[in-house]
Amino acid sequence: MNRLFFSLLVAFFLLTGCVKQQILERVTLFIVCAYDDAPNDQIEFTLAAPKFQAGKPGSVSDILLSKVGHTSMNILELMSMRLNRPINSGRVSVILFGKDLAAKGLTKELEAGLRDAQSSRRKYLAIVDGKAKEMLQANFSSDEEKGMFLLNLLDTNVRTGLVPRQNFHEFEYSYLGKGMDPFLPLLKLQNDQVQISGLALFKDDKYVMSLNEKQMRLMKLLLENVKHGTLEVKLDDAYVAMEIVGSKVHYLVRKDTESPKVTINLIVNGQIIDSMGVHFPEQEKQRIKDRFESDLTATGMDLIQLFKNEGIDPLGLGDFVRSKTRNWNEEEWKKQYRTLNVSLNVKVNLTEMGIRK
Amino acid sequence: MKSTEHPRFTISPYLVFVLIHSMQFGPEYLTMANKPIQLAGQDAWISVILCGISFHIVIWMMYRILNRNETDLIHIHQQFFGKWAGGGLNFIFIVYFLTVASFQTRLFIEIIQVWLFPDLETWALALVLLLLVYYIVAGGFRVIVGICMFSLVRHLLILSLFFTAGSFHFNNLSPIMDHSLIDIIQAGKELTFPYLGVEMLLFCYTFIKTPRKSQKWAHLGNFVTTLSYLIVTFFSLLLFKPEQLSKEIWPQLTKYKFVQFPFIERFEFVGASSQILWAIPIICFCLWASSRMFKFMFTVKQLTVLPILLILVFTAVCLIPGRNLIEVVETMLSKIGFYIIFAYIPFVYIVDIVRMKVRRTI
Repeated sequence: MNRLFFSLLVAFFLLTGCVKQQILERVTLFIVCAYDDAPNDQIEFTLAAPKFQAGKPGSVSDILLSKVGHTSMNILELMSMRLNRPINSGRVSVILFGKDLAAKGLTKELEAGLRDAQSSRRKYLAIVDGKAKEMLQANFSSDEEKGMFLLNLLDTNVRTGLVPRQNFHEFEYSYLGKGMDPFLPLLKLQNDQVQISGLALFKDDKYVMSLNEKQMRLMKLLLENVKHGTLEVKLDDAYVAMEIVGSKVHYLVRKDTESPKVTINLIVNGQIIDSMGVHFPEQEKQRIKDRFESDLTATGMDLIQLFKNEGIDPLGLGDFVRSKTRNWNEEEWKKQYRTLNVSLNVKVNLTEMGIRK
Repeated sequence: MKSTEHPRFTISPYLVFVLIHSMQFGPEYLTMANKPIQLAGQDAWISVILCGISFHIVIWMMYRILNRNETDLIHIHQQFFGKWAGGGLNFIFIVYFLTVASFQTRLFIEIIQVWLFPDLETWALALVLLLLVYYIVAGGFRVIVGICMFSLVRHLLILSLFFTAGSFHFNNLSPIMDHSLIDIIQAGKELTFPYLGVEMLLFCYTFIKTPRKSQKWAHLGNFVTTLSYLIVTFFSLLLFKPEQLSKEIWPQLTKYKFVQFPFIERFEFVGASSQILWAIPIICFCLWASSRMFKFMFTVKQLTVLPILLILVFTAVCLIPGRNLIEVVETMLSKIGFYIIFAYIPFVYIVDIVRMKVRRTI
């Protein structure tokens, strides 16, 4: 009996080699891919397959493959006929969408990624102002792989910059969730350089409008507690810049009347890092503070008015009111939203001002 | 009518905690939160607590029955209902345990097939798993308890929750009690399936050294299971919208998609294959219990029956082709389990009281 067991054990040990193997060096792992709109309800799928050059470690170039078809997975299959190694989609970290496709809706394209057992939920999605394929064709990163470059670009700007945090999971969350709409960073190609030019806002899964950098910065302050970033304000004929060392945002809802009233309290702690033309900012502290507060409030109220006019809710106000209201109704909320009473209170605390008076 | 095993085969009372906990906390936890959250939304956690309390009552009932008769359910059946009816009831339990074992095996293989190796044959993995089960069950009851103890390593995986903490939305928990009580109770009914496993106490009672002392450990086991399920439910509520959960099959495996290490890009591989720690104790116990029942019904040796039962399970596993049938088996088992826990055990409890009363009057 023992001998039988032992021989079976050995047999099973050898059988482990019989499943499909995927050795890292023998598959094509791509980091970035792009979706574009194509005629006849088709999509144009582009991927940048990294190509390592033998003998020159560190230098990576990309092979761009592009094809029109109905489903991205079928296109991938057809693309592998042009590659010497089978394609594996397990490492995709950035997905770009052309603006035209985004205006038509993104649900169909996201379906494959959500269904795939190998795809990450932390990957970044971004909208390209123009065609996503053209962005990948441009030579924007000299020695880095294009996918890695875009991943680092988005990652650093979300972590320490002024781009609000949004990934694959969060996009689906705010798209499917009631009383909230998703948003994505908007990329732009300028003189062969990629830059994050603003924020693309969605109604359900359809792109409707975009915000500029200043509005995006405020969006980030309203969405999450921020510890990085710079704010700037005009003081008569001089300019002052402030570094955010910590901001806190707090939402309140009051229901004394029929319709709810939402109050947003934003506290920004910062230090002055640049005072162009202001000689003794210490004396002017109160004036600088007031100016910052009025400036932020004005931008914020404009932003909220803009959302209300468009009927979109990227701040998730509906979801917030739902969490404070019993028997919340989405249809009713949509009617209320356009005339919703939202107020924004901004408080700026200037703590330090560098090492000079 | 006192029957206990030889002290060499018995376990300490505190090990009942390990046993109860690992029997309850099976791979069903991967899908458990989906349906209750569709029914009761953010109040699903209340259903989890309610269900846990009802299982405490069931455990108390079982101990009353067992302590009074001082033997296991196999013998109680024959004492209460005679040789033939009791044997029939035992046979129903054999079929139930074998179905549970096949279901657990197939569920684990399905997870491996979907998450790791789509081209893996069902029979190949089933063969390897069941050989392992044979090896463990042939070792006897104490070895099974040892495997249960070892499988507690799985609680380390709770650390992966920290990777998702950045995406938690605490808004999703309020308003509390926004659903009607009927919804909450209905969600609780859906939750009985993951809680199943306490019925195994009825079969291993004689293997506990001082059985009366073990009751508190059984309650503690159920309490820890409730706690684990609360974590699972809270996690699903915080990370997902109910609309997302209605589309996910295994939201608890999806959470591993958020884990990122420089040396492991896809942590799901670890997460999916570690499900064996959830499945193996249950499969082993089910086969042990059913082979033990065979032993008393047909007076054969446990070790001779075991291979036959394993072949039965193996065939059943190979006959379940995919997701649809697995779900059918799951709903069937959750119904049967629900009636065993909330109808059959109270029924035996009442019969026991009536018997005692009748005997006293005579």
